[in-house]
Amino acid sequence: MKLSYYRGLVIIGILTFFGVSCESNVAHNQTQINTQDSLYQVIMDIHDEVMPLTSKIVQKKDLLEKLSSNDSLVKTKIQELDAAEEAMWDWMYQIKAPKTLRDSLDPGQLDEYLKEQLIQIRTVKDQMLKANDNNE
Amino acid sequence: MNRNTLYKSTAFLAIITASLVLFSCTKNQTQPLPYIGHADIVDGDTIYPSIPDFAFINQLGDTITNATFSNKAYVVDFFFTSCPTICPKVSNSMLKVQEAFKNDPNLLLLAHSIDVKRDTVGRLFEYAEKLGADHQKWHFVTGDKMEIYDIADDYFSIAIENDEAPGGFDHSGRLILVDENRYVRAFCDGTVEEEVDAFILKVNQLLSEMKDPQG
Repeated sequence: MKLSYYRGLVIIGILTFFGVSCESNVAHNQTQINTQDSLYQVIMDIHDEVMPLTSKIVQKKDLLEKLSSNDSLVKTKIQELDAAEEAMWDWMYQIKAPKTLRDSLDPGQLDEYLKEQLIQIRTVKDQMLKANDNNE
Repeated sequence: MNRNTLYKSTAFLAIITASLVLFSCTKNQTQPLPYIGHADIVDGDTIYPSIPDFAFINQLGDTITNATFSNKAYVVDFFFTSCPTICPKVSNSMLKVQEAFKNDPNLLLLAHSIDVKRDTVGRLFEYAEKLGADHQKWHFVTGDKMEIYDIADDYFSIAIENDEAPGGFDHSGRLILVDENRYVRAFCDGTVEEEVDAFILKVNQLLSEMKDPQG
C-alpha cells in the first residue's frame, strides 16, 4: 500500500515535470514565433514602402526605350532601371512567410532566413530609390 | 388641450415625421451613381473619360476584349500572383464581389497581372483555382506589359485624384467599377472591409440602373 503510494507520487512528479517543461517550451516557441512574425512585418513594411516605385520605373524605362536605342547613356539608364525593377520582382518571387517555413526549418534556421531577407529587401530598396532618383 | 386633441396632434406629428424620413430615404435611393473623372465640355455636352479598347489573354488562354464586357458592368483590379502583402487582401475582396453577384450575369470581374513575365496563363489559372474563382465570371489576364501599364493609368487617372496617389497603381489596392458603356462609376480601397461592403452596394445600384434605366 505504502509502496504504491510512493509510486503514485513519483509518477505524478514525473508527469508534472514534463508538463511544466512542455509548457515552458511552448512559451519559448511562441516568443520566437512573435519575434519572427515581427521581423517579417518589418521586411514587408520596407517592401510596401518602395513597391509603388515599380510602375514609375517601368514607365521611365519605356520612355527611354522610345527615345533612342543607340545612345550608350540611354542604354545604361535603361539597364539600371531594368535591374532595379527585376530585383524587386525576383525578391517577391522567392520570399516566403514564416508560417509556411516552420515545418521545414528549425527556429534558428528561420531566424537566419529572415535576417537574410531583411538584408536583401534593404538592398532592393536602395537599388530602386537610386534608379528612380538617377532618372528623374 | 384635452386628451383627444393631444393624441390627434401627436399622431399628426408622427405622420409628418415618418413622411419626411420616407421621402429623404426614397430620394437618396434614386440618386444615380455619379460618373467619375474629369469631364470635358464639348459642344455643350459633358464628356466623361472612358476606358479605351483592350485585348488580353485570360487564365484559360482565351482572348478577352471590350466585347467580353459588352452590355455588362465589371469590377477591375491590378495584382500579381507573387504579391506578398496587399494583393491577397484585394483578391479576397474581389472574391466577395464575385460571391455577392454570382447569379447575376451582368457583372464580371477583370484582374490584370502587372508581372507579365512570371504570371503565365498556367500560373494565373492556378491562382484563380486556389481563390475559388468562377472562370467564366472572373478573368485573370496577362498580355503586353506596356499595354497593361497604360490601361492601368487610364483606370487610375480616372479613379484617383492626383494628390491622393503618392505611388503607382501597383500598390493602391483599388477596386474600380466600370459600367456597360466603359465609364468608371465607383471605386474603393480593396483592403478595407467597410469600403468594400459600401462598394458592393454601389455595384448593386449600378446593376439596378442598368436593368431599369428610367429608375
